[in-house]
Amino acid sequence: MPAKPLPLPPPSTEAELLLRARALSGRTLAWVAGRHGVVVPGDPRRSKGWAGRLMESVLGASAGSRAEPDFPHLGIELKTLPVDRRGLPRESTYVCNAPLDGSLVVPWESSWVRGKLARVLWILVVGDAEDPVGEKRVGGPLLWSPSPEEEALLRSDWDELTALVVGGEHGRLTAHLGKALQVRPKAAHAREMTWALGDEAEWVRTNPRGFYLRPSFTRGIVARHFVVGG
Amino acid sequence: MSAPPNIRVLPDGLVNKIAAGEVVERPASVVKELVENSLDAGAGTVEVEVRAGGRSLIRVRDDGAGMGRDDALLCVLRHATSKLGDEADLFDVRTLGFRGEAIPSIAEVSRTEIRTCLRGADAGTRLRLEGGIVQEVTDAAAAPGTEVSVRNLFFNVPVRLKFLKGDRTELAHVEEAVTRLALARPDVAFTLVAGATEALRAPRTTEITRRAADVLGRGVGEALRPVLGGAGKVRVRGLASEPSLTRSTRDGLYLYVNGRFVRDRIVSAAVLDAYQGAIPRGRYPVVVLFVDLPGDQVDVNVHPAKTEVRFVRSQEVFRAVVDPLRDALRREASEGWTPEPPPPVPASGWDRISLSDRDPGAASLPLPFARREPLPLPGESPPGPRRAPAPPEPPPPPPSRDPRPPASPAAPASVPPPLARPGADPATPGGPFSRIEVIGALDEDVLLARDGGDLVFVHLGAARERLVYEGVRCLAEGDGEGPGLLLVPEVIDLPEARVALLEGWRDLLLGLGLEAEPFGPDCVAVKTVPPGVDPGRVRVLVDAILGELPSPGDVTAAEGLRDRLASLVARLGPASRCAAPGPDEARALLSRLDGLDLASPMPGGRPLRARMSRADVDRWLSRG
Repeated sequence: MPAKPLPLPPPSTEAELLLRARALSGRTLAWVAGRHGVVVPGDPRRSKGWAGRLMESVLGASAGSRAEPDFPHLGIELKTLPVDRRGLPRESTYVCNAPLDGSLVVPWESSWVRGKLARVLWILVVGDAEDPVGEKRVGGPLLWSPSPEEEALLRSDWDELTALVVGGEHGRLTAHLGKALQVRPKAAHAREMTWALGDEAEWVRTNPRGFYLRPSFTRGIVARHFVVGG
Repeated sequence: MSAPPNIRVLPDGLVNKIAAGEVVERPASVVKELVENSLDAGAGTVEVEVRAGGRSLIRVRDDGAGMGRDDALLCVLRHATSKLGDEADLFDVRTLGFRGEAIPSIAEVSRTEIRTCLRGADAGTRLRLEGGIVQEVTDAAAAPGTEVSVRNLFFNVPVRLKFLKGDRTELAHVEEAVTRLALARPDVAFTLVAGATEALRAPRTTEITRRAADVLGRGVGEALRPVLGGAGKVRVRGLASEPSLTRSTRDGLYLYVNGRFVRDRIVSAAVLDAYQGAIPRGRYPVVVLFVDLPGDQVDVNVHPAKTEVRFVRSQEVFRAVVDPLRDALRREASEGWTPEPPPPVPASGWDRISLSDRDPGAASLPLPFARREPLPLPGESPPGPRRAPAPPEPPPPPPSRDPRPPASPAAPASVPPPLARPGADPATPGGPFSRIEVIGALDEDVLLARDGGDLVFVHLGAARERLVYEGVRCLAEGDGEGPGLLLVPEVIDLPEARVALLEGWRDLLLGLGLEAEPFGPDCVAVKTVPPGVDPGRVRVLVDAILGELPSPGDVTAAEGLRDRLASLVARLGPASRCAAPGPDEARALLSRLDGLDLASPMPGGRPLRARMSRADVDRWLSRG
């Protein structure tokens, strides 16, 4: 059996995308993988990102990690969100790469992050940490756009974080900054390096970073749009 | 008795030496300051002469306005300047110098002679200083303009002498200083003589490309191409190297803000960003770039050396620089640097000059920093009274977008954000429930409250049932809160016939907020529940609903079915056991109850509250 699912053609409409997502809702990941000829990873340590890639493939996403939504023609980004049975997100959610070379110096309105988050199809993956990955279940899909309050929060974080990039202070870009949006290392290992503009506008080598949504932010989205048993 | 003070006011001489250390770092600093004075004096020709890398002699001669004797005496005093009139001028600096520090600082650490003569004057003035102290003031024959000779730099600050490099290195710094100044002013002739050698000659010209070739070398000059553009009130113009010309250091970045050479991170980063992908990482282009913006948008008074600036809107400056450079690089990629007229810039009063001899048909570039007066920008009024820097504009409000996808029972995946819940009208703070004063919870089911002199018991279970009932009723009428989307569908095994029964009443159940889809032949997946229903009650609810549902064709039994089901949902939907509410939760619940239409009773519903009046209490407690 192939380790990667054969990608479906992209859905032509938002309704078709929702229909595909709803058809998966309630199924276990093992069931979804089996229907698409994908092997479920046995080692949980090697399953990071697997559910997201599986969903991208079976829903027909095309953009991958490019700086455009996963469904560019629909303007919809696909995000899988692992949550426990109480609906609490278990980890931060990767949004996109955070280049430190000046590309970030754009207003929020034309930023990659906003482009990715303007309209998101959230697919919950529900299960507790000790559950085998194949037994986790696909949750209800949610087509979401940030509310004015959520967008204001994201914009504020964007301004704060990019101001450090403008100032060449990427050394201060830690995960502690940002209420909803944070910048964290995004690399397989610490040896992975990328170019950045230093504080004297000179080229320096540093670890690549990515934009992530904090679990507290996604927890709010889940709480506002889903009902969870007490 | 108080201790003698440890803090003392420093003597003027020491203050001047400290200040001189900030302005005069090395011979090149002296050259920069003196040439800037010449340019501010309106010179058309500037001659620089140095010996021993500037250690033994630095002489700068210009044909500028010159000074009278009184001004010559004043110019050696710290913070004496003709370039600022009042405090407001500091926020709209139009000259290269303005702090009134250069001449006194230089004179403080050298033996300085100033010869100056006003145009048309019969005689000039000669001023001789040593270590900042005026030794001699005489009349002298002099050509119009000013000549400043600085000998034995740092003769009285030996420690600074030790930090100077070799003559060749210091001369290289001097050459670099003159190059930076000469690139900014093609309309001024420059010469630099080092010992007996002419190190640089740049005749007056109207062409920035000619000036670049004169001071950077013919090879570099020929690899430079025009850049012109801008954004908002920021204008950008200059020359940028084709990608094949790179350097290993940033020394090829000649960046000017309002005519002043700067080492600014924003502009530098924008230049490098524009070249990304066009040149290898770690390499740097050669760029001569002039960024012009209103004086109130930039602070040049950051450091005595004035090579640092701060922008009010740094991101706007960044974009204004990146875009025209990228355009130029795109033209290079597509046309191999075939000269193309840069985009027209609205008439601004800039002096316009031909780009190149080699391309007489090419467009003209504005002459950088050729004028002292501020130039009106497109859409901008001529400069009025000077003013302090404006604070950054507040960010525009977030775009008003309705994030809610269309909500319909048939498409519950598109869940609208929470709407006003039934009974959650905040406009009724004094309603019959919210006005009562909660005393506490009798147990998890009953709330004890006071309403005036009466004691009120609120049955929480009944209240929750009623809220669910109202929620379902509103939903069925297309109003109020949408159905509750389950985190993960509840999958329920059922006999095939019962799956078919649910499917047969699908539309009616959707109207109540219950979406149960076949999930195989003997299974349903419940995806949404009526508003207010606890997810833990789904199985019980579905089982009870199945017991109530007639066969789809039974018209008689279907009569009043919706109301019966709504009542069923209300009775079975809320969580079976709830902890006693805290004060906030109790108040929130009472506030929601205020909005209920209690005139329409809930079928099979229980009383929400009971009241015990003071009269009842008195009667019960009265004597036999």
